[in-house]
Amino acid sequence: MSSFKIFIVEDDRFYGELLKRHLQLNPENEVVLFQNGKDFLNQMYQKPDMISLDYRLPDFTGDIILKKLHADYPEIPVVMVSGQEDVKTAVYLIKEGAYDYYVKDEDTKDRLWHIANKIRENKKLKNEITELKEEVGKKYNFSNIIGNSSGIKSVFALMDRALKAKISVTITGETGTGKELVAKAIHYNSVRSAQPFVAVNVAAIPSELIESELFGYEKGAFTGANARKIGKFEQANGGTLFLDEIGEMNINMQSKLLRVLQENELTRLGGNETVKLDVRLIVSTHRNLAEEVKQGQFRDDLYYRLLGLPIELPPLRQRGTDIIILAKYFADEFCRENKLKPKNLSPDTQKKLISYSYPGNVRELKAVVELATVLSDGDEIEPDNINFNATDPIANFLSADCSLEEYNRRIISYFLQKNDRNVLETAKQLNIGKSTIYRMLKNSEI
Amino acid sequence: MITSSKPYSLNKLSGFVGDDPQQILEMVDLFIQTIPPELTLLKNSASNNLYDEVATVAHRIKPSIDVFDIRDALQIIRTLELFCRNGQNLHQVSALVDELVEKISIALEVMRGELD
Repeated sequence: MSSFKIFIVEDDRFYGELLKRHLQLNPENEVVLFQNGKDFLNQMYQKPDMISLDYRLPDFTGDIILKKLHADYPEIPVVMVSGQEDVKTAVYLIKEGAYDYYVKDEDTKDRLWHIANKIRENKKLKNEITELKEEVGKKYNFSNIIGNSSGIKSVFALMDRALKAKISVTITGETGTGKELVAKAIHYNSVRSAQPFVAVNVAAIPSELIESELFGYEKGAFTGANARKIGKFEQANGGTLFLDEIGEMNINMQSKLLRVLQENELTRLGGNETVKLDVRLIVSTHRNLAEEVKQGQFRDDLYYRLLGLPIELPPLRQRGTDIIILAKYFADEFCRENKLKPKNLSPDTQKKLISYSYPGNVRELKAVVELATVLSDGDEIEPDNINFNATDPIANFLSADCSLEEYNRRIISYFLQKNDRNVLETAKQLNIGKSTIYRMLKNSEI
Repeated sequence: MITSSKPYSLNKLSGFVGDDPQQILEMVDLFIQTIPPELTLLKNSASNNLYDEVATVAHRIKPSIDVFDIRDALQIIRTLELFCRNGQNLHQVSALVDELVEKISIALEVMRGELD
């Protein structure tokens, strides 16, 4: 049970002891009593969770101490207590930063009890939020982006540069390459990490709704606008806004976005109030935006404003042995989450994994490995457990971007396997000399 | 065992510290220790026409007096604080102090008797 430390500053020893014993009826409360301001201030290094401060003390008035506390310990709630039933004093003290105010009367014990409970609950919630933020920060640590290939190392180098300045970042890459993961890693490792990260998938929002979604609206702005809504830009104020698939935004909306980015301010739909913005923008797209600009599908002025630092994520098929590192990571993670014994990837499984082209990139690899982990019976994941589900096998095969020599090697290897490693049968089927296949086998090319 | 006898009541005190008799005894004992010096200070201040001091002491002990519901004492102490704070009817202050001290002293005497 975590203790909740309360300081009571009360010059009447009897009354102070009374409040102390009352609050100690909750065993979570650790209450310390002071009879003057000087003794109390000397112990403030202990940083209590709450202070109950009498307005009139022998050595100070409560408002002087309150100002000092507000300046030195603004995060500690101070509840002012007084015997005088004076509303003006209460209002003044709340304005000066008091958390609450109550007078000494028959309701005192209940008021103080409820205030302490409320502050304790707030503290628990704040602690939970802090812990969750730390967890999220750890999750998106750079070390959690896995890979040793030169392609991914270049990405790390660019991400590191993105941390150091509030520059827009454009992340490009095929679907499933981890664009949002990179955006989050940049945010949670930057000086803005304590502020919100807000992600919007532009492609998933109907074009007629995107403006209100991004900029918010006032009550009555349109039919159905029953209350003010804060848009994604405002939600991200102080932090980072990630616009995923920006290439899907229509030209009309692009103009409005450009204006907001130029002015660093927005006006909610149906409103007059201008809201100042301090938002770091990260955008991503699977399209070639420069090409879109040439074709008139994307505004060139917005393109140049957004471009900032471009980060291109390599497709998984170009990341070589990263495939094995990632596969091992996904298998381990899946086993841990599902309380299974860790499983290894057999050498043949590794070969099979590396020979595939992954049109769905890392997302696809993760799904393939998780299924393989479920299907495997022993301590090792075998090739039979690996099932690729490319919708277009020919396109998948060709998307590997290999040399003709490599394609030849793959074709021969495939048919050799299909024919139970019968060289003559394979040579006949492919209409090539059997010596070609023997040579390749001898050189361990297949 | 202390019971709620005529010049004062323990109901509010129980509301603060619960029904544990030991806690109630300790708090009554503390009240018996802490109030007499305050009453002496009150009398001396009134005798010397130190009305700000009378107001300060009255303000300080008012909540404790309220906890014991000492008959009429709370109304007297409120009046005292008001007169001294505003500089009104100061000629009545000494008489009010005497009356207050007498009522509280009677209550203290009963408390001491029940404690013994």
